Amino acid sequence: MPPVKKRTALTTMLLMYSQANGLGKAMATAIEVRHLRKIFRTHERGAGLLDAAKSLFFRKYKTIHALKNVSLKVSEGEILGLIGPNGAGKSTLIKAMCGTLFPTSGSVNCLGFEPWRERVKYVANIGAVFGPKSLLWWDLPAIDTFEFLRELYDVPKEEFGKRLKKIITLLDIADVSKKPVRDLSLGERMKCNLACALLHNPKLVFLDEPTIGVDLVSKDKIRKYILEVNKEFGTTFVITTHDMTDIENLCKRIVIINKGEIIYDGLLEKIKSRYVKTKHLKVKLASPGKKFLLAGCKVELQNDYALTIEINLRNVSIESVVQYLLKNFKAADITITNPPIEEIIKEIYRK
Amino acid sequence: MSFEFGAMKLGIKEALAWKFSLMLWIVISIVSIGAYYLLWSAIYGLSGQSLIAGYSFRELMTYFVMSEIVQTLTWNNVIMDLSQKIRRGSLITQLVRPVEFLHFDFWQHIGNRVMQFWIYCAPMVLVGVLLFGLKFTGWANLLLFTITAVLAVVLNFVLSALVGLGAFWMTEYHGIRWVYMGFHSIFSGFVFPLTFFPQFWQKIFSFLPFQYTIFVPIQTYAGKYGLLSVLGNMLIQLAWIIVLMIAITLIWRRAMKQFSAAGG
Amino acid sequence: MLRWLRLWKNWASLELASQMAYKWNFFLKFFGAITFGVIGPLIAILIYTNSKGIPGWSFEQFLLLTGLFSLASGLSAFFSMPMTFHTIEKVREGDYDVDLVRPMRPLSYALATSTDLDQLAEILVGISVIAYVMPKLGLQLAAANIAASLLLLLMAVVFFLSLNIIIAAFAFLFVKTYALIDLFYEVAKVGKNPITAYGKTGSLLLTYVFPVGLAAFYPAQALFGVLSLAEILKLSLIALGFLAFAITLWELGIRKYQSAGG
Repeated sequence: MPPVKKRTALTTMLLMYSQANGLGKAMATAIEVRHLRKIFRTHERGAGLLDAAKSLFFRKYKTIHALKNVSLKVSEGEILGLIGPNGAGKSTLIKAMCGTLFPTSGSVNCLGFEPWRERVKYVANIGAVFGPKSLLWWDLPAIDTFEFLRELYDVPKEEFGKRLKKIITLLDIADVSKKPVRDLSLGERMKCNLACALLHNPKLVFLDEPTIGVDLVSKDKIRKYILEVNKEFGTTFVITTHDMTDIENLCKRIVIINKGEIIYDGLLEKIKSRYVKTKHLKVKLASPGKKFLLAGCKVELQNDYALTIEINLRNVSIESVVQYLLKNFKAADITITNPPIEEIIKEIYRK
Repeated sequence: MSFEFGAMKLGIKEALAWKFSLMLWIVISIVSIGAYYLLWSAIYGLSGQSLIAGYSFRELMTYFVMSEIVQTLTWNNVIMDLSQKIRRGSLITQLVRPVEFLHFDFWQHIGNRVMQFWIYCAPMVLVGVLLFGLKFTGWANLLLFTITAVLAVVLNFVLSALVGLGAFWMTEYHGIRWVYMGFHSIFSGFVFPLTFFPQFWQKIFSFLPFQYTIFVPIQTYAGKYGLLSVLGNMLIQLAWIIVLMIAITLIWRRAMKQFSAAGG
Repeated sequence: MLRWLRLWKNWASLELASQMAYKWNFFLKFFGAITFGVIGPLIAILIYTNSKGIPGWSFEQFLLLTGLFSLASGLSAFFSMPMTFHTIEKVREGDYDVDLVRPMRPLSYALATSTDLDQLAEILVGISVIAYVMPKLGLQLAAANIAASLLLLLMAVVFFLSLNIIIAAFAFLFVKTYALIDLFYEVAKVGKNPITAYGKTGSLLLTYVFPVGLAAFYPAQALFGVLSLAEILKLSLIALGFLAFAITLWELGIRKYQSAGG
């Protein structure tokens, strides 16, 4: 390895070590989770007619270990990405940090509060968006809901007005916020939801899938908004998402959770360089071409109109693949995607 | 036949999913009729007469029990379902003729009703007999009642379907639904036997389809009509069903013409 | 307290604006609710035109019960019905966390964000019936009577409010709650009739255990001037006790939701 790369790896390791031990720049801790455990007990409901009749008399109980010994620290001003497959425990962890869920054992400390113990007081300092569910009045413009929230969080009118103006500009919802919410697209609604979460200047914000189902332009605006708010107000963000582009644009540090356990807690760069070894290339062909043949590339699909290739980054670079593609094919559209998070997690798990 | 059967199976499953609610309804009905039982004991006691509005105490109790049973049997959620489908602009409504469109819903409803009968109505009959003196009025009346009851289920379905179609012309439909349900509960005889109303009102009720969904079946069971009248009532039920189906078809065509172009 | 009122006012005006977006629908709902509200007085009319009525109660007196019941249940539902339904819905969808992240005790918040304008019809029916019947009753109304009946009317509202809170609490404690709602309301409806019609045991149960006698019977008795001060205070205490029970159940429910997730 050339000496430069070696040094960077060393520096990275030192950084991680120092972060883990609270050395270096004295960053205040926004969230500290220690050995958090959460167990749910549910009963199974059968699917068919016979099961439905059976459940009249018998009930099978199931124990679900949603969180198994989770420990985590988040510094003030961080934007943390929390990723994992569905059912991994992301929402459970977020709910525990919001104070809406009692843990089975372990401790959580957010902004100096034990979230569920002093929930009403604590919650005045946080904002939360749980997916596409919203507080927004369906038949009224978002601005009415904003005013309601001002009352709820007891924010003085002037301070609120200034902050609202800034948020509206950042999210570009000046016109949107005056239209009835039912007339808005999903992207516009999400932007209004995000505005709702930050109107009262919370120190800590939880975003659960903030860009799911949202169009690309709005996604971009939302990401820029989060970065701006983080920069200007020092707001700490904890974001769960399935969208790797969200993570790449927003988070320096990510936590991967799978089956109730944290399997990775560290810098994004490290994961990318260590684990993202393949990329998928999807091509729309303007005209059929010859058989795709290139070392380090596995052809998953090829017909007269489309081409899907899995690229092994260890053996070949994206640039060379694209060069080969453009030299030998007439491409109408090219999309390069990362492998789904499940694959990355499987990789990590194997290690 | 498998299409209808499949729809029925879905209706049966649907009813089973709500089995606890349905069984709880038996308790609710007991409370409701029980309150009436105590109240009317006192009223009959004070009145000193054995008949009030032509009903003996036992007959009146029979009416209230049958009212709950028949109401549950003939009830449907079609107005809600239909208005929601129309509001959402489901593609189905634009491509399919109303008979086909409602065909599935109808058979699913029948499946649901079959289950309702076993989960609610049958136990309720037992409750009625044990607690409230529900009278058995003979096999002939039972048979005639069964026929009128089945017709009543169909009639109520078609009636609701017609009302539900109004959702094409209104953005929010709860208002109309409430008004309809309010009048229906009075005019059908669910709240009170129609014979308690002044003659003038009874005349009006007889021109409307509502009384044929609850009042007439119960009276048939109670044997209050001669055979000819019973058959006449069945014909009227059939006539209403046909008239309403024609109305549905016509209104549907109108709605399609008006809204298909706009894209719903 | 002031903050709660401001919040309630804000929400109520949003609710009004939202309903007004569909004017026709709102008026039709109002008309529909009036139709349902009329069923109570209608039953009274049908009973008294076909028989001598209920022992010890004249037509006007019985009608008064109907009016009082509508008024009290309407007033309570105006403030608390949406709370009950929204709680049930949100718990079913696992959505209640959004409400728990608000800087207000969940019950206060739930009630502040709960206004049911359709209940205005019920309230109107109640007031109309009472207004119609009062002059016909020929009661000697001293200030004490009026004060007592207003107090007991308030306790009637407290009773219905407690009912709604209990049902909402059941959403947390049990899963399939829709039928339970109907059960509670059906049992509450027995309060439309004089509880003396239910026999000695019935009256006792309906005064002390499930105090639906508070809904209409006792306010009527206060108007007739037959209740002593001690009885009035006792009844008020029962109402407040019922409310305390309801709130305790709610708190239990919230705790269960927080430990069991969604």
